[in-house]
Formats: sequence, structure tokens, C-alpha cells
Amino acid sequence: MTPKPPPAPTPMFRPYADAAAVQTIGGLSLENGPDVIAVHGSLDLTRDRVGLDRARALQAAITAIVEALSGSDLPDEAAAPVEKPGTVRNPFA
Amino acid sequence: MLLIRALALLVLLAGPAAAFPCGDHFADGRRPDLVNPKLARATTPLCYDAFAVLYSGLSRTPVYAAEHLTRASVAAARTVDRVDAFHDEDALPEADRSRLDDYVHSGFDRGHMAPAGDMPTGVAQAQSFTLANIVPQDRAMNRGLWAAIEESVRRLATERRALFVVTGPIFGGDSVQAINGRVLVPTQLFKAVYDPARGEAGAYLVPNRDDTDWRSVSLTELRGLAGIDVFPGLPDAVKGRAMTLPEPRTFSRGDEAGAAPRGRHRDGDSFEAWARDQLHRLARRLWRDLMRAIF
Repeated sequence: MTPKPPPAPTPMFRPYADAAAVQTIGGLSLENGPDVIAVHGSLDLTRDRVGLDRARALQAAITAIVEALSGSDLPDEAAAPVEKPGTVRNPFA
Repeated sequence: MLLIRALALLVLLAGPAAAFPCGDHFADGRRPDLVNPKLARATTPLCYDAFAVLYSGLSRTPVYAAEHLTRASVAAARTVDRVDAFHDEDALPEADRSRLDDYVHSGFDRGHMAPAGDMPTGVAQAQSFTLANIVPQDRAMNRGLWAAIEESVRRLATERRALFVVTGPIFGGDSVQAINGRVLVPTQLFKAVYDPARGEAGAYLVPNRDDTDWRSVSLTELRGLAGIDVFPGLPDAVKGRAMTLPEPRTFSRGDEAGAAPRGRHRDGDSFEAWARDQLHRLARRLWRDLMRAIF
């Protein structure tokens, strides 16, 4: 079975607006979420055109995150809610 | 007579690579064998541009994801910068799908089996974010040791020109954890590689938790642990002997030196702890090599 391509158009990275968007900049990933944006990986900002493009992409992403956070009334520190996983019978055992 | 010849020619033209759709992603065009028959229940094969998945409606995760990495595909993957979106897989029966909200407050990362970082085109990378390619993965392990294993395999593919890779979860024990009551949490993950030019293979095996280490296993041992014969076309001698796998290192993309992945020695911030850890690893590595030299 050949799955359909994921929904067009290209997703947007709107900080804290969804739990789906992931922006890739070099080896760096910014993973969106309603409560947390996870930034992981590593990135070389080389002194060339590619480095400039990536520095700008990173700057735009961080600016958007700062704007999203500044626009609302924030608690000093919020614990992200975590639902403990349940236990089920292993169907493969 | 002519018709028969034409048909025979068609069959020949189709060739072994097109034995089934997506065959190019598999070594010898052969899917892994599920030696544990329970793994085969409620499964759906899915074909994407740069990887193939066998999806389980029981665990709501892949059973495995298969890829063919080449020097060219890895080089192309390094240039893909874009915004993607994790998404439910429309090609699956609705009740079988894992969903975004299964993961949101689970405390687990959405761990790719075929890594986004392996995808040579924007379309392939977008496809890799289907939840059909995802398992609940320990956060620190996913971002540290596992990311380092993925990068090491890309570098090995570049060095060896081409590799077949099969990645998947292992669900061990009589009971397992489930997030949102729907998606099963693997107890271990494996990434098996096969170098067709050298005729050698082996697999990384990693528990799905933080503060852990990887070990190298042969395909024969993996078959016992996972219930899957990942490269069924290989001779038993190849399956029985684990190749020397590169030590996982965290690299930035242009950095050849690399660094040991973080999260490996949590309480080891001191130099002494680090040195002890390195010595321990070196000793284990020497022991492994020695054993391999003898047998």
C-alpha cells in the first residue's frame, strides 16, 4: 500500500500552536508542542552562504518563540503535564 | 507462442528488484522474516520514497523500518532544511493508527525508526514524520545515544558506499507499558546494518531508557531477541558473526572529531568519572575484538 503524501501545503512553525511542526536547521531540530518546544541536535554555523541562511533561520525561529512567549501572561515556572503510562499484556510474548 | 515470449520478457524485465513494491529498500529485495508469528498479526506494509515500514495495529508502532542508504543519499540528506509535521497515517485503518494526542503528554519522545536525517529529499523527509514510523522513545536516549548511533550509521554508509538498514522496537516481557492506553512502549530498540560489498552485518541494541549503554549483537542473536530475521537472504555464517560497528559519537554535521554522546554518564561530570568510563569502554571493546579474533 502506498500512503498518500502528507497534507500540503508545507507546514508552518507557529510556536506553541500545535504538537506537530518540526523545523530542521542543519542537524538541529525544533519540535513544537503546546507546552514545550524541544530543541535538540547540533548545528555548525559555517562562515559561508549556508551558514548565513542557517543563522537567519535560527534567528527567525527564536524571534517567533520569544514573541509567542512575550505576548501572554506567564507563570514563573510551569511543570509540563505528564500522564504516566499504563501497563498492558504484551501481545507479542 | 509470441504472447508467451512477450510475457516471459515482461517477467524478466520486472526483475528481482521489482518483486514487490518497495523492494529496493530491502537487501536482496527480501522483506525481513517474522519468526515470531505474533508479530505478523494486524500488520500493514507501507511504502515510502526512501524507506518501507511494516506497521503493527497491536503495538501501534512499526514492527520495523527498512532503508537502503548510499553515499549519495546521505550527502543529499545533509542539505534538507525545512519545516515538517508529525501526522497520523491515513493509509492505516483508523483504529490501528497512533495519533498525535497519544504522544503529547506521554513524557516520551516521538522516536523515528527510519531517521528524518537519512532522508534525501524534502518529500521523503516529510514522509518520515508519519506516526507509522514512530515509537515512544526515552527522551534522553533518543537525543543522545540514539542520535549518535543514527549519525554513525550515516557515516558508515558514506565510508562503505552503501548499506541496508533495518530498525525496530523490541517488546520484552509478559507486560509492557502503553502511553494513552494505546501505543506500546518498546523495552529495547535495534538498528541492524548489512554491508553487501563486504558481506558483513551486525546490529546495535539499546534499552529504551536513559543512563544506558548499547551493545553489538549478531543477526542470529537479534533474531532470538526481536523475533525477526532482518536480512533473511544472508548466509548463516554472516548472520552468526557481528561485524565491528562504529562507536556511536555525537557529531555536528561538519565535525569529524565528534564527542562522546551526553547522557551516557550522568553522574560523571568529573574528569575522573569520565576517564573511568572511557577506560571501561576501551577494555570492553578490546575484549570484544579479542573474542572475535578467537572465534
